[in-house]
Amino acid sequence: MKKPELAHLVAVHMGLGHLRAAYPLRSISPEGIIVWGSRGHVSRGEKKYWRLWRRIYYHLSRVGSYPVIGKLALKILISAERIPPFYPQRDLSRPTVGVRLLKFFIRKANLARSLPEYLKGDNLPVINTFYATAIALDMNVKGQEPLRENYVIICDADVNRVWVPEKPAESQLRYLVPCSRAKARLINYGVKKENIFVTGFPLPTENIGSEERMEGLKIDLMTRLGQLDPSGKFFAYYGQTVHQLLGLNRIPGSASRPFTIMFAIGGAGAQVEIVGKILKSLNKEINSAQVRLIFACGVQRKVLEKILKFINQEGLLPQIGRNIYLIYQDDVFNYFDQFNRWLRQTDILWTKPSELSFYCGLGIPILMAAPIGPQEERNRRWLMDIHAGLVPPGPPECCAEWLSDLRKNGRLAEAAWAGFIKARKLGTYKIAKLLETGQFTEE
Amino acid sequence: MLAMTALVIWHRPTTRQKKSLDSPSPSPSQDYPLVSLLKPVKGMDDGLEANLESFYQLDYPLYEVLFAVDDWQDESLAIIKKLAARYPRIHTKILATGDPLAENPKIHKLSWLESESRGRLLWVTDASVRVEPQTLRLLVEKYSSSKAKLIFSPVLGTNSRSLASLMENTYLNFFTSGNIIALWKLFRQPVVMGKSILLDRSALKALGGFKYFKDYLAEDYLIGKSFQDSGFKVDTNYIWIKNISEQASLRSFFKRTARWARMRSKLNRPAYLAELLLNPVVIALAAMAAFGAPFLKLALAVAAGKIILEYVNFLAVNIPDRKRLVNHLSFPAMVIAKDLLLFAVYLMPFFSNTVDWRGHHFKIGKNSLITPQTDLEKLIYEEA
Repeated sequence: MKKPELAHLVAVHMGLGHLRAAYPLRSISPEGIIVWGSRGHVSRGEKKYWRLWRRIYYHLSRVGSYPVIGKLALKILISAERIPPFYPQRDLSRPTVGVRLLKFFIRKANLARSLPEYLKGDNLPVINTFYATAIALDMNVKGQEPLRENYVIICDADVNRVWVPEKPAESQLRYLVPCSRAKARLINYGVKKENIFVTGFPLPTENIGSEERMEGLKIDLMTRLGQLDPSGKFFAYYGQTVHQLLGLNRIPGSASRPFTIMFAIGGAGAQVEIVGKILKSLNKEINSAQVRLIFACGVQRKVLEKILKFINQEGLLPQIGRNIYLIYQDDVFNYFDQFNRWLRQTDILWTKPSELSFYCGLGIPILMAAPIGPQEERNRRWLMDIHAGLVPPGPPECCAEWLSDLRKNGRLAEAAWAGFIKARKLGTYKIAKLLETGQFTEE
Repeated sequence: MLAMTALVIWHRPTTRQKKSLDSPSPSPSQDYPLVSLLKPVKGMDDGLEANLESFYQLDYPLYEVLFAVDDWQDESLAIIKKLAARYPRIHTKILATGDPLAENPKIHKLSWLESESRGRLLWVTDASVRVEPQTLRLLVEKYSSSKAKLIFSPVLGTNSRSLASLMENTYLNFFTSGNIIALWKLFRQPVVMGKSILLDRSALKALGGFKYFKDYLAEDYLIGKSFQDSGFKVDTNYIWIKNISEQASLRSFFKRTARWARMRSKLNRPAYLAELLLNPVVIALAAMAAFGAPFLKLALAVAAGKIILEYVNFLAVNIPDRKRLVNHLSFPAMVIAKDLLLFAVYLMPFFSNTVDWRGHHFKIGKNSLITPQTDLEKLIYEEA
C-alpha cells in the first residue's frame, strides 16, 4: 500500500526528545524523518553549527554534575532557559534576547536557511519538532505564494519564548501542542489562537492500537494495573470505572512477567549515576525474579558501558536477558522501535520529566527523576497536576522499600489510571487527520 | 623507551612462555570449556597453511574452528578444506559472509561466526597467526584463574624473509608489543590487538555481540576498552602470539602502518602526538638539520642508541629470526630506514583521514568511526 504523503517531517538531533516526537509520524512523510543538521542534508558550514549546538546541549544537560563549576553553570543555564511564571497572565510577546539571537543565527549565520531549498519541489506541509528549523522556514515563507503550511510540535508542557518568532502576530507558524497549559502560554507569547492545535504529544500508535478503540493500550493497561495493585486497594475504589472505561470484564490476574520497571537515561546520559544505587537496592528482588529492570540506555556507548559496569559491580551479569534488559541501539530510530516495544511490558517508567512525561497517556505511571532545566520543571508540575507522576518518596538506594510501599497502597495504579484518563493519547492520529482534512476538533 | 625495552625483555617469550608451554596436558577432570576459534580469512597470507594447521594441533580437550571468507571463490578455501579433511575429529565450519560496504569487514565476519559458534569462550585470531599447541590451554587457564572476561596477548612478528618483513616484525616486536606490555604493566591500560583475543561469550553478548563494534575500524582496541569500561576484567598472561610475515613489501608495510597510525590518531590524539618521542632518530636528525654540525655527534649517538635498543629487543624476542645471519647484518641500516619511513607514516594522519583496507576505502572519524559516504539518515553520536 502506498504511504499517504501528508507532510515533510523535520527533526534535529538535540537529545532524543525532538526525534522521539517525530518518530510516530514517520509514515506520513514521503522521505521519512529529515534529521536536519546531520550529514547529507546541510552544507559543511551549517553542519558545524549544528554540531557545536549539539555539543553545547550535551554539556549543558550534564553541567550540574561537573565538579566545582557545576552548580554555578546550572544556575546560568536555568536563567538562560527561563520560562516566566504563568501568573499573573500578561502579554509576553516582546521578543527576548534568545529570540533575537536565533534570528541573527538564521539571517547571518545561515542556520537552517537551506531548508526551504531542500524542500523545494512540492508544496507539502512541514512538521518541525524543533523551533529553529520552524522559525527559519517561517522567516522564509513570508510573502511567498503559495504558502507552505508550517507546523511545529511543542515537546514540553511549557516553553520558552524562543519557540515563537519575533513578531508572532505576523507569523504563519502553527503549533501542535501537547496540553492546554502550553496553548495558554503560546497565547501569552502572542501566537494567534487559530494557529494553535491542542493535539496531544504524538505517541507511538503501536502502543495504542486503533484510534477508535485503543485496544493495545487498554489490554496493556489492564495487565499493568494488576501488576501495580497487588493488594487490590486501587481496584476496590476504581474497579467498576476501570471495567467500564476499558470495556474489559476481567479483573487482571497475576501477569506472566515480573513487576517491570523501565529506567530511561536521557539522550545526554544524565541520571546514569543513580543506576548503581537502584541495582544495589533491588539486587535481591532481581535475583529472585520478583522485579525486572529495563534500562533504556539510548544511543550512547558510554552510557551502556557505564550501566554494564554497575551491573558487574552488583554481580548481576547473569541476570542480563533474564531480569535485566538493556535497550541500546546505535541507530536512534531502531532504539525508539525497541523502546516502544518494551514499554508495552513496562509497569513503571522512571525518567526525568522530559517529553517522556506525555507517555503517561499510555497508562504508565511516571516516576520522576530530577528535572534538568525549566521546561522539565514544568513537565513535572504538569505530571503532578494530573496525578500521573510521582516524585520518589525516598532516595534511590532505598527504592526496593518505597516501590513496594507504593505498590501496596495502590498509588502507582492510581497514577497509571490518572495518566490514561487525563493525558491526551491520540496526538499522532489527530496530527495526521489535521494534515489530511484540515479539520481539528479540540477535546 | 628504556623501560619499554626492559619490560619486553622481562616478559620475553623464552622465559615464562617456555616454562608454561612445558606444563603437562590438561587432565579430563579439569574444567576446560568449549572454545570456538573464530577465524576471519581473506586471501593468502604468508605461511597460511602452516598457520591454520597450528590451530588443528592444539593441546585442548574441546574446541571447534570456524572460518569466514568473503565468498566461495576465496583463494584460501582450498587450504581450509584440505585441513578440515585432514583433521576430521575437530569440528570445522566455513561461512561465506559477503563483503559489507559501510561497516568493519572483520566485525561483519566475526558477527556471523559468533552466531554460528557454540563455545562459552571465543578465541579470535588472524589468519597470519601461528600458535603453539599449548597456547589455547594457557589462555583458558589464565581466563579461569584471573576471572577475566578478555585475555589479550603481545604479538611476536617473525619469519622474516625480506627486508620489509624484518622491518615489519621489528616494528611489531619493539613498538607494538612494547606498548602492549608497557601500558598494561605500568598503567593497566589494555592495548588489545586483534591478532589474538580470548573472549567470554556472555560478556560480549551483554554489549550486544561483535555488532557493537561494526562502525569502528579499530575494533580490537575498542573491544578491550569497552570491556574494561563495562567493568569486565581484562588481563594477559604475556603469551606471545606469533604473527608470520615472510615476504612483506615496503609498500604493504607502509600501508599497514599508515592505517594503524590513522586509527591511533583518532583514538587518542594527545597520545599520538607524544608518539613522536618514540622516534628519537628523526628528532636528532631534525636537530642536526636545524642547528648544524654540533648536533652531528648527538644524532649519531641517538641513532646508535636506538639501534642497540631495537637489537636487544630482536635478540631477546625474535628467536626464529635471529638464526639468519642476513638479519643481523642488515639490522642497523634497517632500523634507520624504518624510523625514517615511520616518520613519513607518522605524518599521514595530519593530511588524510581515509584508510585503505583490503579493497575498502573508509573515511574515519573519532574513535576510528567509519563514515559512510552516502548515508543520509544515520546519526553520528560520537560527535556529542
